Amino acid sequence: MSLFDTHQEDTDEEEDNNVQKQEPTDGGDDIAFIAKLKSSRTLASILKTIHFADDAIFCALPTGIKIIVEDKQCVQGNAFIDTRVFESYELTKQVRFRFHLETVLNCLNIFGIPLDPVTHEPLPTNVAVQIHYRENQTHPLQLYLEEEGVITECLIKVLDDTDTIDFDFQTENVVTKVVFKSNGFKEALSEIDLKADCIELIITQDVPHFRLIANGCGGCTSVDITQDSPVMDTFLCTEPVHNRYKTQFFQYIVRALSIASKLSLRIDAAGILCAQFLIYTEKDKPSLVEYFFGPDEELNDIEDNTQASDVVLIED
Amino acid sequence: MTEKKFIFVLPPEHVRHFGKTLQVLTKLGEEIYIELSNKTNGLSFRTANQSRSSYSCITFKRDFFEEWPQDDIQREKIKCRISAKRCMSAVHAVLSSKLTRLELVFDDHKSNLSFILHCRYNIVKVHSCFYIDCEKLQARFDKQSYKNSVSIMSKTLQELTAHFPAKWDEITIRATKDQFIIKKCDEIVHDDDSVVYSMNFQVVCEPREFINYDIQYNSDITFCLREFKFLLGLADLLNLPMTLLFDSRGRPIIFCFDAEEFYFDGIFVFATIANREGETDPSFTASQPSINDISTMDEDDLVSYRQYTINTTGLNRGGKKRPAPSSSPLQTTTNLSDINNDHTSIINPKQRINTTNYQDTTTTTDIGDTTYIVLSQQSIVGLQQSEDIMADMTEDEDEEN
Repeated sequence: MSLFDTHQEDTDEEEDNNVQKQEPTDGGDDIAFIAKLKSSRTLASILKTIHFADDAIFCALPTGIKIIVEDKQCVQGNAFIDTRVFESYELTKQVRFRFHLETVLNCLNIFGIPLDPVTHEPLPTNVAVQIHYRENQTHPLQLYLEEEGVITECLIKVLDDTDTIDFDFQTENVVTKVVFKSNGFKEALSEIDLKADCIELIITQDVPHFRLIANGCGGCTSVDITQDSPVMDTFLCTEPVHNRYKTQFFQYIVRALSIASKLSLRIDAAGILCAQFLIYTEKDKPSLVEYFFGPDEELNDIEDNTQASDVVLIED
Repeated sequence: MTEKKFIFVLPPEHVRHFGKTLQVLTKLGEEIYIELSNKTNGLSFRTANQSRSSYSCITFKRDFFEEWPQDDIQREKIKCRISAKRCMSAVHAVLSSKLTRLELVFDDHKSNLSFILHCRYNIVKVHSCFYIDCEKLQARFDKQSYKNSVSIMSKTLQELTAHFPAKWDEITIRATKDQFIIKKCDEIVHDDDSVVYSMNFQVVCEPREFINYDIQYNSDITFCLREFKFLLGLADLLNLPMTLLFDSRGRPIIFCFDAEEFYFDGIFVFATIANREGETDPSFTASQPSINDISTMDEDDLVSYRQYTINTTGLNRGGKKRPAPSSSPLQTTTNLSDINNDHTSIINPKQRINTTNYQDTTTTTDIGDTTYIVLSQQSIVGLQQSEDIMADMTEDEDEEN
């Protein structure tokens, strides 16, 4: 994917709300990208799961939209929405820019978020959204939202593109892969102590096959899921894994679980955890949200220190 | 304790009861003392609050559990305490999941108590916490010595007191042969000795509301509402006859129940307010009604506590009687009455009712008369206003209205 010139808005543009959705008013500038979604909920719910940082990178690719969010160089969240999820998807030029995630989310939810009275989950809406983007740097990202004949136009400044981390997840060197059903896994995670500093993840071929341990003060909480559990769809383990990850990563996982139908966890030889969520919104084509987490180095450091101190003792 | 594991297994139908009762205990104290003893023939969970003005004990019998540690040695095995906070998170997990099996494992080697929850879908959750070996927590009281004993279904009691706002610190019970009144404590005494008469209301019950009504001594006692409400939290789950034992001010009130069909029983002892000597501690009205006497107990007193003989639930055993909090637990009843006599001389003018001497049970008629008179003036159900109420209406009362 190639990096294009960065786009920066010099001034805001104010336009009236009766702009027609179909065609832009001034011609001449090439439209790089137009996408139309039947329900804004689709995009909003996916963006919400990766909303853990202020800014996000938006990439429009021939295969669909990719949105990348990074947090402090140690976790990356990607969302992929395939072209087939969209009502229409026209791409003339691949684009990539940075935008303020919260602003876009607020715009997508501008008509409100209806909640199911029983489950308090957001209901699907009939707010259609159309995204326009032109390559010209004077133009902002344009979002048009329409509900029952009322059209809202949102113009959002785009920012300079930045580099994103390449976790270099070695797909060919995956040590273990587990696929869960999301509602069962959500139940398993429900009581895990999220106040602990980090969560240990143990995956072995023996019982228990999958274990999460959270060490809080005064005791610890652990969850075991065996291979034959109906919650576990697939279990592959070539060598045992015992790593620690920061607890907040699991908070992201729990958040994404609420809209996902399946979760896949893969760990490569370097200990990097790749969590992928399969999300069905509209149409039959699923969207994908994935997270990359690096392992907490503490575990290894402690071991190294112990070894060093042993050496000192021997010398004495 | 020996180097081994004690494993208790609960069947799914008892898990909810276990969770709910333990939840009540975690609210009533900071640490939960666990004891497995052949003498009590059960696994008991006890707690006392920080100021030692309430004591709670719930004992689960052998039949409550599906499996019981196999050990035929006739000696006490488990005596430890755990943090109520850790227990609370484990109990929360127990109550929120559908369990097929719950195991309690006391691992002596690691001093670890684990709650092993077998959930559906073959998921196993383990909540573990450290425990500390200690002596057992025990309060001394003699159920047989109480003059008044009433039994009422716990749900009825809960309904009667449901509308008492939790913001109120204390609740007062005035009981005579004909009436049982539950109301708010009459006045609040502030720092500067000014007395605030505030809005009050009362619930008047007739003896026929009760399963058992035996009042031999007209009582007017006040105890902590907050803890009482926690205790009644059990009523949702178990609608059982609860027995209240009480008599004079200063003597603790005992709530006990015996859930025979569920194989556990519980006893809750709450301190009641005695006559105050002069100035009242302002913190008294704010939170704990623990100022029953001159001082509250500290850790040393707790040590003495434990040296006493057991007075177990449901069994009639001899034992010295004493209320849960007191200036010194080592005092015999004679000394206690001495203190009470001192109190009568410095009586708070607002408190018309004198304390009574324990041994002097026949002189209760004076108090009884006084109480009675007061009651007959206040026999209105519903709102009861004091004279200065307009000036002193506080936020609480507004909300009541």
